[in-house]
Amino acid sequence: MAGVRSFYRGVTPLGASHTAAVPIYVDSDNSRLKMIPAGSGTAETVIQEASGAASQSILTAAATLVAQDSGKTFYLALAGGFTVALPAPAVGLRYRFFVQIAPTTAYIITATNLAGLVFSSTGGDASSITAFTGVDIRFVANTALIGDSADFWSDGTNWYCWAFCDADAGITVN
Amino acid sequence: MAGVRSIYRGATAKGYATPAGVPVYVDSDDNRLKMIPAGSWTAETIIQEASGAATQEVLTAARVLTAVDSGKVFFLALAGGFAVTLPAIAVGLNFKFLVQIAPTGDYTIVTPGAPAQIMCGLVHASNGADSDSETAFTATTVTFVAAAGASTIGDGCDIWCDGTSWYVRAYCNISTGITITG
Repeated sequence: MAGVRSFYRGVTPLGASHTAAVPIYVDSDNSRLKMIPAGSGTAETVIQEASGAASQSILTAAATLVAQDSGKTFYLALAGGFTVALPAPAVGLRYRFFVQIAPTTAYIITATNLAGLVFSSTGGDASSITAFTGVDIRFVANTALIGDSADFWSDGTNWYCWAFCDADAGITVN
Repeated sequence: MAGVRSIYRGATAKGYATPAGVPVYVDSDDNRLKMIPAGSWTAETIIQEASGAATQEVLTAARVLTAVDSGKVFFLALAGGFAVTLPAIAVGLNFKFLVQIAPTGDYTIVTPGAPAQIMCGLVHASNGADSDSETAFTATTVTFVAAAGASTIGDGCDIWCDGTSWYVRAYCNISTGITITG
C-alpha cells in the first residue's frame, strides 16, 4: 500500500472516536486539521492551524479551560475583567495569556499548586512565589497594561508561571 | 483495518485539495509531514518537522516573512544588520528571533506596510534596569540596537498576532539593547 494520500475534508468528522480508532479530518469551515482523541465526537483538538500558526482564542468572559485548550494563546479582552480557571495539573499542559484590553477589574487566572515569577519591564522588584503554594495570578486592575502576559506549564503535579508586565505591580502571584 | 497505517511519501503531494479531500504526505526531499488544507497545489502547511523540532532559519539578509513562516525561530546573523518584515496580520501567527551575531547595524522587525501602528510590547533586561515598552497598539518596529554595548548575542524576542495586532515580548542583556517604537 502506497499510503494514505488525503485527509477527509468536511464540516464534521466521519463518526466518533472508539477504543481503537480516532477521527482525523480537515474542517472545511476553517481548514484546520483536527482530531477527536476520545469520546463522543464533541471534544475536538486542533492539531494544526490552516496557516501553520498555533491556535488561539480571544476571551471576553470567564472561562474554565480544559486539556484540549493546551497550547493555545488566550487574549484577555474585557475591561471589566473575569476569571479563567486552569485545569488540574497534567503532564504537558501549557497556556499563554496576553492582555488585549487593559483591565479596570482584574483578570484572574486560577491554578492549583502554583509557583510563579513576575518580570517587570521597568526592572523593579515584582511579585513571586517560589514554592508550589500559589492559587492564582492577577493582571491587576488599572495597573496591568496592553501587552502584559503570562505563560503556564504543568509538570503533571504543579503549575509553573512566568509573567511579564510593564509596571512592577502589574501582575501578582498569590 | 482499524485505521490509517501509513502516509504516502514522495517529492510532491498526490493531487490537490478538493472540497472533500486534503492531500497529506511526507516530503521525501526533507522528510517533513505536510498537508495542503485548501485551494491549489502550492500552499503547503508543515504539520511536523522530520526531527520533531520546531522549524528554524538563520537569516543573513533582509527578509519578508509570510504566513508559512509562522512558528519558526529566526537567528539574526549579519553584523551589519537588516530588516525583517512581518507578514500581513492573521490569527495565530508567531515568530521568534534570536541574535546570533551582535549587530553593528540595527536588526529591525517591522510591521507590514509600515507605518501601520499595530504593535505593542515589553522589553525585559537582564541587568534589571528600566527597559522600553509600548503599552498601546502604537508601534511599528522592534529594533535590536547597534549602538556600542547595546544588543548582543542571546538577545531575542517573541512576536504573536491575535488577528488584529502584534504582541512583542523582548529579552536583552542591557536595557537599551532592544526598543519597540512607532
